[in-house]
Parts: sequence; structure tokens; C-alpha cells
Amino acid sequence: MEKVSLQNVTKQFKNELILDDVNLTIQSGETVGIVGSNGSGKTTLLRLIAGLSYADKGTIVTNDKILTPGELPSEVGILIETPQFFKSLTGYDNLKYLSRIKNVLSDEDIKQTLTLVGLDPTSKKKVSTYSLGMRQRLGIAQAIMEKPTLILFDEPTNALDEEGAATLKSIIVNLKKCGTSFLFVSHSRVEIAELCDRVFKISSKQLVEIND
Amino acid sequence: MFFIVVALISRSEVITFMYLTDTAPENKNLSIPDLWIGTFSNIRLVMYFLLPVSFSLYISNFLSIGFESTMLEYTLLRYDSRRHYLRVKLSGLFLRVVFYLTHLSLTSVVIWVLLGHSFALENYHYIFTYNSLANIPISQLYSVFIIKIIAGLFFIGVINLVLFLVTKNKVLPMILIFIFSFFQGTLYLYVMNDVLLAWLPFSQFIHGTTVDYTPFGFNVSYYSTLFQLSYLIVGTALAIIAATFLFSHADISQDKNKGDN
Ligand SMILES: Nc1ncnc2c1ncn2[C@@H]1O[C@H](COP(=O)(O)OP(=O)(O)OP(=O)(O)O)[C@@H](O)[C@H]1O
Ligand SMILES: [Mg+2]
Repeated sequence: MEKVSLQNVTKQFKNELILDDVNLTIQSGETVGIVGSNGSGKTTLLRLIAGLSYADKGTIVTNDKILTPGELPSEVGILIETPQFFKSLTGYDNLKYLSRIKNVLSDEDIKQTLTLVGLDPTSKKKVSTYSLGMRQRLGIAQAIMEKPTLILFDEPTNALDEEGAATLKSIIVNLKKCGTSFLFVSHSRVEIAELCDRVFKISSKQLVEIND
Repeated sequence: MFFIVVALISRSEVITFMYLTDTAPENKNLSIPDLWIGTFSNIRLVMYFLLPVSFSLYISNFLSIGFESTMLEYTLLRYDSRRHYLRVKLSGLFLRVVFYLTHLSLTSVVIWVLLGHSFALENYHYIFTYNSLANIPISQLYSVFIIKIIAGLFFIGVINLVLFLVTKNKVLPMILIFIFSFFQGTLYLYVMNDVLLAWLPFSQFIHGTTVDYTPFGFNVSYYSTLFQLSYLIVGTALAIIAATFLFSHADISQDKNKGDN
């Protein structure tokens, strides 16, 4: 089953062409990586797949839903660049706020997710006092907590220490075992290569598969 | 806090109005029902200006909450569609209208009691006088008032939402509502019964409440409660369609310059 399918996708901002006739499919359970230089359109591609932005041409199907303007894919977790939260709330309360929308998680589930990413679920610390790495961890917790079947990670190791990066890796390995599909985006190929089944590069506005 | 200000200003507005129209009781205090009905039928300052502006202020936080960068992304991906998200926002807005009205009424009553007004049985406001002449049940009078105010405030709320989606700014919609209310309030002083005024958005929830009460009402031939309610319903529907269109096509992207919310 295809989790993501992009056909002849073109995206431009005002008159600046960012992605030109891009094709990509991600199968269920597959992990795909995308690398590219700064400003090459990696984040833009993730947004398109998440339905946060819409293509000018072409079709995007995510989790069996055709993303026309207004539609959002289901069962997708996302972490884009620097995560931001309600600053005056604790990490737990932020996750609680988000979990109320789908209302499938118990308080215990949320606490477990926090522990999993290495944050203290009983901490009264507000997000405003969090370090960058702690925010990143909370962002990861937010993306994985409802066990989506497709997770979009934009430079997930940003600001993480070695231990954090190792934790993230083990989380990903575990989720992969459960059949979760991943799409990683990074400017460093080394970082994602070992986790990915396939790696693409954005070069001159198009996706090119890298084969070693 | 601003409820207290509104309660004080509307009290003095009602008293001034009744004094000017020679309907104020001599040597007697106005009752709380007089003040309440007076407040929500006061064209000059309260309904044209204070209500839209203070309501806009009241909901500005609610409208923009969750629109902070990345929080909106996390939120949206938990909904089926952007329309679904807007529907939830709109039901929240409706609740805010009810809270606002309750909150404002309760605060006003407390302030008015402190200023020596009571729930005396005798009412002097012209709407009550007219009402008892026409034999309309008092509960009906209140229900019609409340329905119209709720419909009017909800309309203003949706306009606020549209302005917020266009400007992507929390303060600008308030400023626009302020300017527009000010403009409309000033216009009223010059063209009291003009057709133009009957078609402006913030006239709707007020003139309908006074139109039945000539000679105080609003003299445009087609103007009636039915016209007013149709205007509000059609206006609200159009504003919701505009909000849906704007939001469905919006590019939800991080504002990289604004790190804080
Ligand atoms: N909302 C927007 N409006 C206009 N231009 C945009 C917008 N978002 C992105 N861009 C432009 O699109 C191009 C690609 O941006 P994108 O964020 O996708 O790059 P990236 O590959 O993620 O870069 P980085 O490695 O720095 O994260 C950039 O030139 C950027 O200026
Ligand atoms: Mg990026």
C-alpha cells in the first residue's frame, strides 16, 4: 500500500519556482530520506505532503487522501524545524491540549511518551524555560504520541545531544518494527543514511534517487 | 475590567437618552430592567461602538490562540480537514458570544445595584411602555432582544475572524472594528434615518430592536425585524464562506521572524 504518492508536483512561491515536476512514492513501512542544501525546498516538500501547503500543479495523495485545498491527511505526525509550543504551559499540558483533539490518548499514554523522549512528565517547568534540545524532544513526543502510520521528520536531530540522538534512533527503530513509515529530511546525508531504505536528493528543483 | 467601564458608560447613556426624550421619571431612580433594555437598544454609543469594540477585544485572544507557528501545524494534522477545524473554532466563538453577554449583563447588574438601582417593578423605558400598551408578553420581549444580540455579536465575531485570517494579525482586526464602529457611530449623528445606515453591518443588531417602537425606531420603509434577521443570517453565512475559503487556501508556514507567541 502506498502511504505517499506525489505525481508531477510543482510548487512556486510568487514567481520563485521551488519544486518542478516532482514524483515520489513511499510504500507502507518504508523509510525514505531526502537531502538537499539550505533553501532547496525540503521543508516545502514536507508541508505539501502534510497538507499545510498545496501544490500548484500535480497530485499529492497522503494516506489515501487526495490533498486538494482544505483537505488534511489522517494519521500523520509531523515535526518541522524549530518546534514551538504554548510557552506558558508545561510540556505535559501542551501535549494534553493537542491530545484532546483526537481524544484517543489517556493521561498515562502522554506521560509514557514524555518519558520515552527523555522528558520528566511530572516536571512543572514551563516550555518558555525549556532549552532548545528539550523543545525538540517535546516536538518529537508530539509527533509520535498518537502512533501515526506516517511520520514526517524535518531535521529531527536538530539541537539534540548525543544521548538524545541515540534515543531518537531507538524510537525510530522501534516504530519501524510496528510498520510505521517515515520521511526524513536533512541537509546531512550521513545522519539519515543508516535509517533509510531509500535516499533522494533535491537537485535543480527535482528529486533524484541516490544509489550507492 | 472593561465590563465595568461598559456598565458605567451605558448607564449614563441610558439616563442621558431618557432625559433627552423626556421619558425619564422625575425624582425616581431607573430600574435595572430599564437600564438593561436601555443599554441594548442604545444606538448612540453603546451598540454602535462599545459593544462591537469590546466584543472584538474580548475574543481577540480566542481567535488567535493556536495560530502560533508550528502549534497550528500540530493542531491541524489532528483534524480531518481545515473546514473541520474552522467548525470547531466557530462553535467556540458562539460560546464566547453567550459568555460575553452573560458576563456583561451580570457585571452591569452588580455595578448598577451598587449605584443604587433596584429591580423595582415599575419600568419607565419607552420599550417597556410600548410593550405593555401592545400587550406583548415580557418574556417575549427579552427573548427577541437576546436572540438579536447573540446573532449580531456572532456576526461581528465572524467578521473579526475573517479580518484575522486576512491580516494574520491579532491587533489589526480590533483596530479595523474600532475605526469602522467609530465611523458608523459618527455617521449616525449626521444621517440618522438614512438607508445607507440601515445597510451597514453594525446597524443590524440594534435597529431591529428599536424598529418596532416608533417614534423612536428607524424609519426606512422595508426595515423590520425580518429584514434584520435575514441580513444577519445571510451576512454570517457569507462571512463563514469567506473564512472557509481563505483558510482552506492558506499556506500554513512558519513565520521565521517571530519566535515567540
Ligand atoms: N511561505 C513562503 N513564502 C515564500 N517563499 C518561501 C516560503 N517558504 C519557503 N520559501 C522559499 O522556498 C525555498 C525553499 O524553502 P525550504 O524551507 O523548503 O528550504 P529547506 O530545503 O527546508 O532549507 P533548510 O535546509 O534551510 O531548512 C526558499 O528559497 C524559501 O525562501
Ligand atoms: Mg528546512
